Amino acid sequence: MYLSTLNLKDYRNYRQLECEFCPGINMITGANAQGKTNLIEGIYYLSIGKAYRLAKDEQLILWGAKSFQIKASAENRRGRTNIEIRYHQEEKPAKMASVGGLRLTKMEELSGALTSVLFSPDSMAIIKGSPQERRNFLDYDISQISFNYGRNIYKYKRLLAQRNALLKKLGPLPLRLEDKKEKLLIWDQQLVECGSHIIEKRLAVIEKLAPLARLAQRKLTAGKENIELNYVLCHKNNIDEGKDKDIAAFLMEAREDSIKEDLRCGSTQWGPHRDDLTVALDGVNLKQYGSQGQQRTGVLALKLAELEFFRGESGEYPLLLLDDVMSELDENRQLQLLNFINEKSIQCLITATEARNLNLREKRQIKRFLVDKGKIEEFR
Amino acid sequence: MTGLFHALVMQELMEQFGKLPGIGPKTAQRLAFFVLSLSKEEVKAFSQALVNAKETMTLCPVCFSLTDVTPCQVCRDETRDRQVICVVEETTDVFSIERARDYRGLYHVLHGSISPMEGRQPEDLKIKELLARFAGEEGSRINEVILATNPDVEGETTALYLARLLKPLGIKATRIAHGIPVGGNLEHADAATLAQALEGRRIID
Repeated sequence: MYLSTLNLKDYRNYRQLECEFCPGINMITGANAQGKTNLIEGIYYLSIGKAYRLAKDEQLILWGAKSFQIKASAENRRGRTNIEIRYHQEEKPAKMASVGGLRLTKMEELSGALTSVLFSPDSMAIIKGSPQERRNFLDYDISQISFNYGRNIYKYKRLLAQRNALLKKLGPLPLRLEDKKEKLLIWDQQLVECGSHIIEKRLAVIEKLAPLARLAQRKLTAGKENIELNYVLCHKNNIDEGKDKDIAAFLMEAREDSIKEDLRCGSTQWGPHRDDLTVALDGVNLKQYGSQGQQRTGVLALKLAELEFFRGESGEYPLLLLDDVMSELDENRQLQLLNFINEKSIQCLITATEARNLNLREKRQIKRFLVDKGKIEEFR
Repeated sequence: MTGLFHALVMQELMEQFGKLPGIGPKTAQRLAFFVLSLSKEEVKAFSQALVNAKETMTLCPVCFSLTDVTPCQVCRDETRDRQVICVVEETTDVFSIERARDYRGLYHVLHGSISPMEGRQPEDLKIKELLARFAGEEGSRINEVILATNPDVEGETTALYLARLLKPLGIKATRIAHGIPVGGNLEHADAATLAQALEGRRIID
């Protein structure tokens, strides 16, 4: 799959941008604060239906404008698909999306229209950051291949917010614990059902991602390091304990155990919104004990695994967005990454502050762009 | 900041329009100025209509839909099937179902759905009133309750809650189906609706 054209209107610092990308490597250069990352963010928006830097939609609108628009054409084996997203702050619904000319009623239906993998300096947070970062890593990937997963996440968040509101209200009331539990039950049953779908899907995806990451890591370190991925349920230390159990029963148990605590703090202490993913090197947690270099290699291995994962799911490699990461990687890792992209004919968008010479072994189509104050220009 | 401010009476009028659902400050301003363009008689008729509606409409003591007669047109209609009650969130839902002309049973309006975030608990809805309807001779004739709350998280929860209450009473609770609009085209259906329609598929004999 590759992105052939991109159109941004009043998005971040772009008043109007039209751009044609090549299926090979697209080098985007420009000084700092000219809009390179905004461009990448706009493209990734089409993959996950929102901005990845946790920006709100109204913050994405160009200063002084009232709406933004992202339009793109994606090419895959079956042909070309036009994707469009429009956000208008005064209209209702504010956000509208269409794929192939058909209007979507839910943003989650964007799933799979343009699959992409994003690698930016922020990606280091997958290893260094909070559990939230790792859940996002999983969720962004899974929602790109499964529409239903996105729906479940949405539903789960709503159920959770309702349950937490009820917990806050019930907490200080002079009722018996049993009565409070009874009042919560109607939400808990749904939360458990929806939550177990989410966890089951995450487990299934990790099962596929783990061997791919392991393979990539061994390749990057000449067979010296083994990377392991493990899903950690917040309630128990290890999923193995719950392996033979069905997840719903497991969550029901977690609910039972933490109901007093839930009522005390007015929020739900169990469920997929509290789970984590651990990344370990030969049994040692990479977050706590990995060196800077090991962590970087680990993230790179995860990103390469993502590429292979998407190919396994859809039969095609996704588009790879490399936002200012070349400077983060040493020469050897850069070369390995570029060779991988090259071998597999993956479309790649690379941003950097200065044009660099890509030491590619084979010749590939390369297009070069210069971004300057919200304008983009191709140059040779 | 300097700028032109509206006369106080206009500000008050706009504030009133702004209270209406779906009306933002700009539309409120447009509506307020529109009112000025009307003749005095028209404005009087308009304000009178508001007052009349508010003074006349009350809640039906049986089904709690908004009505101008008590009991409401449906509840007093002897030709309706008194064995079935259709439970909806709002009076407007009653009108939607009546438009279909296919349903001949009774209604019960809950006035909302269970939503702790908005401070609505089961006890804030007309649920006690629903249960009260099963008492007595009239009540013993009811054998089915159709749960027609909205298919969102809160509506589903309300339906689940009611189903749980009704079960021990031996009353059959049914949930309306979700799926493809009739006369619609499969290709125009959204993925969520399609997925649900597929899940709820049935055998054709």
